[in-house]
Amino acid sequence: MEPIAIRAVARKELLRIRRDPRTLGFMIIFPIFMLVLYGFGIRYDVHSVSMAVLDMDQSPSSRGYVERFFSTGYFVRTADVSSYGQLTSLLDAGRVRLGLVVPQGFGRRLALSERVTVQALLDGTDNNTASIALGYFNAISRGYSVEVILDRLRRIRYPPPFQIPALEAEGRVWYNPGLQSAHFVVPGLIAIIMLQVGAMMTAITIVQEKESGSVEQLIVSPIRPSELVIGKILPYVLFAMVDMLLVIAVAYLVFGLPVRGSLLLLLCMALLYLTNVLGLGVVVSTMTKTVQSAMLLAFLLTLLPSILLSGFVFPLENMPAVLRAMSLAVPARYFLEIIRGIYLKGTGLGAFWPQALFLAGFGSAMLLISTLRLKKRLE
Amino acid sequence: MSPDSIAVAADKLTRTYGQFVAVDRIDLAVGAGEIFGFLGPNGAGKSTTIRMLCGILAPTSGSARVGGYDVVREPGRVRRIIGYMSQKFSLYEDLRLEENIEFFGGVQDLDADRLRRRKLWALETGRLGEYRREFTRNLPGGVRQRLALACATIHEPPILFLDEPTAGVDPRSRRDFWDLIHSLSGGGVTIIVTTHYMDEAEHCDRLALMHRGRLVAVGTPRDLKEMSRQSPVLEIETGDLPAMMDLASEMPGVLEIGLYGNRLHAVVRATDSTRRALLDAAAARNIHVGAIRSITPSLEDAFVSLLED
Repeated sequence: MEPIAIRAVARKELLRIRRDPRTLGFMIIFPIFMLVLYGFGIRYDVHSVSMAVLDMDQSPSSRGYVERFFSTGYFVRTADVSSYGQLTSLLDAGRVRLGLVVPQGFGRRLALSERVTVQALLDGTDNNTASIALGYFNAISRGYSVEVILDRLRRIRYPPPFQIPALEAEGRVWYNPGLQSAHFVVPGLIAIIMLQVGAMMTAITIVQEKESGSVEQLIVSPIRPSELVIGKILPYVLFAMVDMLLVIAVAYLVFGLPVRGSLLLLLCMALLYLTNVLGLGVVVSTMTKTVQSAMLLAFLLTLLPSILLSGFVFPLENMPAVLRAMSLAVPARYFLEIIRGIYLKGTGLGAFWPQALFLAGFGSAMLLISTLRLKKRLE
Repeated sequence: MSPDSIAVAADKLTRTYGQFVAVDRIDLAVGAGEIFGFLGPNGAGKSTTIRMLCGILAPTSGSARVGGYDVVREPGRVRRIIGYMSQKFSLYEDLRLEENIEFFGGVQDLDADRLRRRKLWALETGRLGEYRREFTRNLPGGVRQRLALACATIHEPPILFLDEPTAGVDPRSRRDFWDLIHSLSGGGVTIIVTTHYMDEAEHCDRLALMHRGRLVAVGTPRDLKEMSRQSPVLEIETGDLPAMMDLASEMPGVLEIGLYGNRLHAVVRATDSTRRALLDAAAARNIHVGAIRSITPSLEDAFVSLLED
């Protein structure tokens, strides 16, 4: 290894990155943009579902029932309608996601201890929101129902001669008590951004030398392929780490998300993950001749599986067995488990050493393959 | 030539691409300090030969030694003693002129001290000083060419390969460039250069004519002209080039006719009789003829006549 040559390549690369606004934007602005977009945009939790009410009873008890929906914050009263037709047209137009129908005689029949059916019409085009809203609807209705029963019992005889048995459900969500999507998204985003900078950018920058022909000058010089690649990669290692810290800082400032575990451990694991990512990038660069094809291949081989099969967006538990098996070969999956552990749960190496071991193995394999492939320099 | 004084040698060096033979069993011996030129049309195999000698391209068969090292078995040693500048020498456009020099110096493992000295040398000898802070993309063609040469020779290689170094550069810059080549050669550097400019070939100590992957002839520019002396050449000045060309090509004593600028060159069997016949025929057809004179064949004429043999 020649430090002079490596330094010369790294310096040149840094100068060029610094002067290229596109690269700089890609590496600094883009991660923040992604974070804000995903943090605010992707919502697995359901809030403020627009709702229309068709209250055909207009009694104090029907109003009391309807009020329950809006005291939770899960629903927003978008419209009050007077006919079924109006309700369906609002649903058709997408103006509301839920239409609540309270039948005539709601209050009277409840008072007579009769069964009353209330109806909710849900827009199922967004199945996630619809099923969660349906859950809220059921819970609110059942809660109301229970209160009516209790009220009746009390009225029959007060105080009641017996204890009313009740199961109080007290669910506590750990690690992300507010169930905020940002908490779930940020660690995954770090994995994806590091992949983009580490794999995509390194593949592109190495292939660029081939495409422009400058690699010929480098072939006739004494510099070894490994020195060239290390020199070219170093600035991107720096940028990937800076990006990670940037995302962590913005996540803390904007979403109030702290790193619960050890930041140092997080950095070490990120470096381990980077060997995987950079190795993939170099391997991609040895397989392609043009920047275009390098971008495409890097996208197909690294970014796409990492977004789809890492558990970043779609939980792995719900996937078909085939896809789950494929996800076993995706480094981002393991890093995601590690980083979610450190970040959200504050766990230590003991909790995820198998994942760390995989990353170490995969990283070594990638570095070995890329070194072997780089040796074939003569055509 | 004694073995010590041979800088570059090739033995039946061959490169094929499938059925196509790009370089066909070339034998070469270039002396240390020589300016050795490969001359030939596009596709003759000049670049392929140079790329094999530099170790960019693996030979299909045969062997070559550069500075005494085998290009296939000891590529690392070869790379330490050669400089290579190709027609499309890729400077980094978004680096400043001096940053390009520093980069190529670093790649050649020059330590800080030596790099500083060599950079000064490059800026001075290549007359690049005034552009040193300029971005490479803004440099005029001639300056880029000199910068490329400076980058290719930053590590003082004793052997320098230049592949069509002046392609697309204006004549004045080409002259400046050749002044640099001569000064390098004066310092003992062996220079191997390809070109298809005939006037450039005259700068070389020795020339190899290449055609379809083969070496057609090797010698000094004068040797090559001598070799083709047997066919004299007439230069014709005329007001009506196309008509005169038709007329000359029908004449039995004319072996070959070609256009050179605003003149015609006719390779002929006998100078005097053909000259008279041409003048008579032109007069009969009312074609104005300025002069017809016998000339020393240029390298180009020599090349054409050598290829015919």
